Amino acid sequence: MVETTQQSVEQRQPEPLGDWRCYFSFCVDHKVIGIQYLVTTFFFYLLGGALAMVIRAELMTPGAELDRSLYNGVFTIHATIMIFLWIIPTLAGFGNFLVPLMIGARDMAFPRLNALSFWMIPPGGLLLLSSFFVQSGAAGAGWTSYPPLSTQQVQVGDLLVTNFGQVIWIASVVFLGTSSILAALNFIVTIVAMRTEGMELFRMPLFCWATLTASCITLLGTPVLAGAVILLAFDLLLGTVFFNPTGGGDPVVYQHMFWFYSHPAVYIMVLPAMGIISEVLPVFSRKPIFGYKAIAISSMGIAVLGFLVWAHHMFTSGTPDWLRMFFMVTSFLIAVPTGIKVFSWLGTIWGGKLELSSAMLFAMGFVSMFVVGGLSGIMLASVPVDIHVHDTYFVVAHLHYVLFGGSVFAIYAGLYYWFPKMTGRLLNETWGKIHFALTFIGFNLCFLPMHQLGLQGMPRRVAEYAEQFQSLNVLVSIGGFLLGISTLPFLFNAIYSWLWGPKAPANPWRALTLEWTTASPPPVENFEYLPVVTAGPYEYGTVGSSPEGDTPTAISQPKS
Amino acid sequence: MIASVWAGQTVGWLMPAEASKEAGQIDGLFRFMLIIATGIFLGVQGVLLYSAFVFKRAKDDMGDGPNMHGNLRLEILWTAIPTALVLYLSIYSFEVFQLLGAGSPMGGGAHHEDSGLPIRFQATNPDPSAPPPLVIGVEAVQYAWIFSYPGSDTQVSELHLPIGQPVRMDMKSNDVIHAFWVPEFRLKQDVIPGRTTQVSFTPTKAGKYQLRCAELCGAYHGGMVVDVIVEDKKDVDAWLKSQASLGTSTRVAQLADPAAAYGATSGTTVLQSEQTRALVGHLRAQGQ
Ligand code: HEM
Ligand SMILES: [Cu+2]
Ligand SMILES: [Cu+2]
Repeated sequence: MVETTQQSVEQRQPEPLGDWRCYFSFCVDHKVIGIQYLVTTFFFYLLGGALAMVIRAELMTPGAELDRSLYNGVFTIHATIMIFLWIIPTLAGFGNFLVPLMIGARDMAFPRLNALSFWMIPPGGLLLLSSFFVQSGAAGAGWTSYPPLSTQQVQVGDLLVTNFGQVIWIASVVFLGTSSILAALNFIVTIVAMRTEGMELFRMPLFCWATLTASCITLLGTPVLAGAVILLAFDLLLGTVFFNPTGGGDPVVYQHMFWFYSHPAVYIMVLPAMGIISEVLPVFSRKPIFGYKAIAISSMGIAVLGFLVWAHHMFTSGTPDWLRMFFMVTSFLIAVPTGIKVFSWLGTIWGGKLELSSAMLFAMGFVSMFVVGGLSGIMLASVPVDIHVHDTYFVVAHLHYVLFGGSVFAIYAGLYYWFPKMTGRLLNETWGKIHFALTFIGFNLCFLPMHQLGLQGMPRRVAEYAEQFQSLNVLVSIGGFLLGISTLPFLFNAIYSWLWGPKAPANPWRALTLEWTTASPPPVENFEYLPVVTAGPYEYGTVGSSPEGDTPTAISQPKS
Repeated sequence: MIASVWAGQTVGWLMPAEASKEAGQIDGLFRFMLIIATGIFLGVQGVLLYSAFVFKRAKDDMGDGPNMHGNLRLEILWTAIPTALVLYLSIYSFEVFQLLGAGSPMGGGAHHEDSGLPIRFQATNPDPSAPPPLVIGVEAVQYAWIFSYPGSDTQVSELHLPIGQPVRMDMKSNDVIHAFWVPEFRLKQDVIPGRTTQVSFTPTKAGKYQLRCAELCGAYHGGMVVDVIVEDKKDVDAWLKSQASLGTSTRVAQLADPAAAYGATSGTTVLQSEQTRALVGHLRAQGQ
């Protein structure tokens, strides 16, 4: 399996990676940009989490302690941050760091465009946060911003003012959306055009497949979202009536446009996360991924079907019955490719030699929690049941099992797994396991009882609720605070290890994908010699393995 | 298995009381899905936990597991079974959906004059022998519900429904989107400005429930709650009569004031919170 390449290294500039200053500059190295993404978005995650703590504090009691408009602003900005400034861009951060390394490229296809798409995020985020300080207050119509509520004037004292918080929200979403379109374009071109010799499409690590698929969704869907919110801005500022029924417009049209993007967007948020899981499980099970092609192709299946289910968010919006039935069936069907993935992951760990590292624990935690979100998703797809639980805490529970138990668990798995590659230092495993235990317990305490709250009759997006719901809400809040606390061991571990942790070897986990064939952290142009790939990415347990099981499936050596 | 069936039994305490004819159907469907889901959930967790203990590698074992890439038969199996299952769920859900509503479940909740649908998709009455529904007009405003009963031009702020009588709500809004939801009836329908939406059901159990707005409609969305009383027809009629004899101002004063209902911060008396003022303004503009 050993092969060599004739390609020689080009002249390089002096190594900038060690210099901390480049992380604050318009650096075009994809690894620096990846880390810029990850650190910046984690900062926004903490802010979004702080807002979640405010929500949970408010809901400790049935009455409303906060000003109600402020409360609406808090959960709107919480969700917007979590989606547009944490999950989506942080997964793009992983993509930036990993995709070129995994396919054996020296950088992304368009390095400067890449830097630009990162540098749109901090201003976009600060813009969003600034809306708390305008006279009208932050946008308060939920992250879905349905008109006519979102285009209504707001009352400040005795005055009715234009909802500038909403205008800022729109500007920020368009800005962040543009950033993710640029990044998606870059990923697609990189993956299609820059694979190294021997890296056939079906030899790519599954994370690359997931990023490719998610990028196609971004490219198709995000412009529609931009269109929807720009029309909303026209209604708000210019007095057009696209969505305003008093002028002949139709508010439901906005819902169609919004969900045409935002349902596929949940796959933008979960496919790359699934890609991370497909990397972590084989390494720590010492077994090839089970059903490689089935996983790769089911991503594509999910992406295509994902564009055909959007109206399941509108089962109570006056959607005609035959349409409700159509969208019910497509939504049910999407469970099939999703199920294939889950069963394939179980097949991967079955019979392996499991190393229960922090990364592996989070990956197994992902499988276990994502299944809950998937199952409640099937219930929501059924129109008669959704008619009862739509817009209740049951939905809040469902979406957090998918986005937190799914995406966030996967992001943590990825952070524990690739931290040595990114920083050249090892994280502390004991603290990692404490972090996992706290997160797992806090998560279930917080989000499991929400199912019952929703079934029993608590609507979502309310600051006040009937007294009968208090005890469950207190439980939920305690879980929420525990989740807040659970980030502390991680933060401490990451900062301490980055500075003083033990130095990491090139391949601490004995993994077989290309990023582990180069130094930790990788040099400026990633590989001394571009590797030539001779087999798939997960050939654990092949006859040729050395006693340490440490034979990469590709070799980068000068021709001797 | 046993655990799944047990999960099915928990529906009793997971769900609020069943107070409409439709509720039983929906709960049955939900119970079925909960049983299946519990089975799948336990299966997956079981595999994960079993693997974590049984396949945990020994400390010094640096070897690999078997080089196994898949198993076509297994993969076909776990594609086919879920497909069959969701197709069955589609049919089951479709049937329940058809049974929903004493009046016309096929209207899509929305009646535009021109819905562009072939006629067979239009409202059909599944049970022609059922009595014609009592049609109640509903107007949702930020942040209250206003009801009008047939044969009476009085607008009231509380919903009283006769037991066993099919009802249909014809709902309108002039400001933003609201949603009609009584958890005990299991039915929800958005109230959308610019069109009339409908929801039909038959209350079956006497009692006092709450109608909660389920679509975010502004600052006091959480307070947009009003009592729904299911009682004998003669009590409903008596109540309607008593309301008609009251003056408008008294009736307005009876409107639930969400701010007051939740004591704590408001401390405001009826008619003093912002949203009640807005509501009174609205009623005056309607010439009441
Ligand atoms: C400590 C962790 C978290 C807690 C305690 C928490 C709590 C909440 C609560 C209580 C709501 C409901 C607000 C309402 O409807 O009144 C909510 C909404 C939401 N959260 Fe979280 N959350 C957490 C983390 C996350 C994460 C990690 C994500 C995304 C990945 C997320 C995404 C959302 C979204 C999309 C909504 C919907 C907001 C809406 O209805 O407009 N949350 N969160
Ligand atoms: Cu969706
Ligand atoms: Cu409301």
